[in-house]
Amino acid sequence: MSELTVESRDAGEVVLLYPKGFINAHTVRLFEGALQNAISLQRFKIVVNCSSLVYIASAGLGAMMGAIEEIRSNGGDLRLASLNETVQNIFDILGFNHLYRTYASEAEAIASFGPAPGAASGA
Amino acid sequence: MSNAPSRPRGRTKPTLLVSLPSETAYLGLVREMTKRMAELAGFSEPVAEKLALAVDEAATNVIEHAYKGAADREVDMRFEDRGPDFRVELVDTGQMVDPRAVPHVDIDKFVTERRTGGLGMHLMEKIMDSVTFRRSARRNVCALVKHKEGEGTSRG
Repeated sequence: MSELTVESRDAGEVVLLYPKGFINAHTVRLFEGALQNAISLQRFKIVVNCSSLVYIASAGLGAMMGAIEEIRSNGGDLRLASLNETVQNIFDILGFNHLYRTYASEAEAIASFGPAPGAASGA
Repeated sequence: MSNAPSRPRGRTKPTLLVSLPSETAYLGLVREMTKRMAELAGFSEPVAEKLALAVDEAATNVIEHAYKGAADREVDMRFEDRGPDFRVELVDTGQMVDPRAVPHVDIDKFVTERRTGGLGMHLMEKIMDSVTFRRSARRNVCALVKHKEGEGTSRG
C-alpha cells in the first residue's frame, strides 16, 4: 500500500488537492508534484484538504514554502482545510498558522477565495 | 541482587536497538517505531506523535546530510526508557554535519526569502527537551531526550 496519494479536483477557479496518508521526505515529491502541476496550469487558488492527511514532516512544509511565493505573486493563495490534531499541532509548533490560512471545512476554504468572476449567484 | 551495571534511577527498561538502511523508504517505520516506543514509555498518543516527528526529522537529516542521500549505509537507532526520560539516539558513519551551520529559522523570512531548510532542526528542538550532536570514533551521534514529567504521560 502506498504511503501517500494525492488526488486533485476542480471547484470553479479553485484547485482542490487531497493528500491521503503520510508526507515525509520519502513521499514529498508526489505532493510537490501536485502543487507544481497546479502552478504549471496557471491555477493559483489552491486548497489542500487535509482530512485524510495523517502526518506531515518538515519536507512537506518545505514543499509548501517552496511554492507559496509563486502562488501569491500570481494573485493566488494556498489554503488548508480540515487539519487533524496531529497536523494542526505541527503547524502550531512552527508558527505556520501565521503563514497559511486554515479552515475547518473544505467549503469554507473554497468560499474564502470569493465567488468566481462571472459566476451568477444561485445559478 | 543483580550484576547489571548501575542505571539512572527510575524505571529503566531494556533498550531497543535497530539498524536500518539509509533509505527514506524506512522513515515510515522510524515514525511508527518511535511512536510505539514513546507510548510504551508512558507518553500519551498526541505527545508520542510529536516525538515520532522529531525522530523522523533526525533520521531524515542523517540520510540527506550525513549520507548525502546514499541508500547503502546504515542508521543505528537506540530507544531507551530511562525512567524519568525517554531517549533516542541515532548513530551514523557519514560526514560530520555541524548543526550550528544549519540556518536559524525565522518563520517570517521563509516566504520572502524562499527558504525551506532548517525546518527539521527547528521542529526537533521545539519538540524535544534536548537535542545534542557529538562525533565519536568517526561516528555521528544525535541524541534526543524528552522528560516525562508534565508531558502528557499516562503513567499511574
